[in-house]
Amino acid sequence: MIKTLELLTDFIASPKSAVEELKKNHYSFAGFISLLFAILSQNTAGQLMFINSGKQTIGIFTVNFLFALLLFLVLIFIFAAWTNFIAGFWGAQANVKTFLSATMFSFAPLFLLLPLGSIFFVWIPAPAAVYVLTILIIYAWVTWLIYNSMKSIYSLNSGQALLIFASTLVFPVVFFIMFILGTVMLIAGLFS
Amino acid sequence: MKKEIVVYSILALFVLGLISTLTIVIGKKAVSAPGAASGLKSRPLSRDTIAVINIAGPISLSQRPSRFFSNDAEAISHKLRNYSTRSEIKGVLLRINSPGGSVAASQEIYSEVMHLRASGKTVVASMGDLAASGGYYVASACDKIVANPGTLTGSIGVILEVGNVQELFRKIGVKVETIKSGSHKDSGSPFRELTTKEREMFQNLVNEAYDQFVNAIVEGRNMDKDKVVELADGSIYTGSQALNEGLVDALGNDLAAIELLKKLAKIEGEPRIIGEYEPWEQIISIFGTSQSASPLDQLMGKKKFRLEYSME
Repeated sequence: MIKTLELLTDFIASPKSAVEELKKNHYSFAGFISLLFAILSQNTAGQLMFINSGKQTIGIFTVNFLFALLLFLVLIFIFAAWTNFIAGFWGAQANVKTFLSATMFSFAPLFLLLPLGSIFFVWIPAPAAVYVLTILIIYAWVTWLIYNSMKSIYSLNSGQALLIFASTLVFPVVFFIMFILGTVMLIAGLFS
Repeated sequence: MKKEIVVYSILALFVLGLISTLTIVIGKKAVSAPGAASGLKSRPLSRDTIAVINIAGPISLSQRPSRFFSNDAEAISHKLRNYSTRSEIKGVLLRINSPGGSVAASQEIYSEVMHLRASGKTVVASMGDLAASGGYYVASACDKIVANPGTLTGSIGVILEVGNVQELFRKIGVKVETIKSGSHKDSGSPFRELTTKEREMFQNLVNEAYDQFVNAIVEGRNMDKDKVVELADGSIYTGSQALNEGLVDALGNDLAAIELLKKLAKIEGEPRIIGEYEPWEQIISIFGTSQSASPLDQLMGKKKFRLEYSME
């Protein structure tokens, strides 16, 4: 528990040393717990920010949270698998579990959304706008942490790491095409 | 050193966040009711609640019991019954956008609305695009009805349609043999013409259902029966026309209906307004099964004929 908290703060204060620690020991479960609480922080802060659109019941909040967690896990797993696969072309070998843990820990900055959400709601005149801007900054930070983790774990140079990031864009394109195809088939089915 | 600075900064942020949260809780920062422009405006909140039920599309009773997220008459009746037992609910708004539906389904909802009124709750109907026939049947049970000037309502009457594909089958060389226990067992069969006796029988059904409809309006709206019969020739009325004829009580949209409901239920301050479906339920409900709507299916389907309070 203490170790997990130390890792979390390390990921914010000193990401390189945190990744080195992950290479030595597996923290997969701790990474999952960290991700779980990170998403919970985000959802709770979002609930506060957009409370004027309607307060969610506990049931809906739970479903939204579980859905978000599932979505993040699926995306992280696909991303880690893809990274491992592409890095293999350059002969970079590493334990994919290590990278998976590192990716999950990289979402540590999301914890900050919980206190920030509360602070914005009380003290800032236009909290929603500031909150959205903050989310963008925090996700940029998360992306940077994942990028650094990738470089360190797979011993890649900056160009290679950027290329792998860029290659993941193929997934949204594939999903988008599948979505369009699915919609077309659904509409065709309605008229048949 | 850097790590210590980060740790203390994060701790400070969480402490400030906690103070802010306590400020919200202890300072009782009011959260605006839905629809308010800004989260910083506050209006006094009432503990009283208004429940909104949507009656959209054809009114029917599902043939599949306990369907998740069902909005059939049984589900609506269940909600109405549930609301009658909740003390914080002072009034119910029925938002009706329906061309009508089956006789029994409309009557189920009507009956529950009357029970709800008898239990001390106020019920107001707000009509959308269309609240005709069975839609009006249900609305007539409410304390008051609010319609938009352009709402289409009325169509007070009963319709029974029997499909006849005899000629089609003859053209394509299909024969249907029927063996029955009684002369009326296959009444309404789509494979032959109606006999005179069957026509009389169905006309009696329609007349009976029509009388039920008229009586329901007389009781629900407290109107004179002769006046209702005069209006109940199946004519369609706009909201404005319906107001002139006494079929509705006021013109306005759903917000106007809520204001009227607040006044009738003597709610002071801003009530809590609860809907029936949360957003996630609405999203998941789109994955529900759809039923075929082809005309031939309707003619040939399990329902040989339909007796409805429905605008065609």
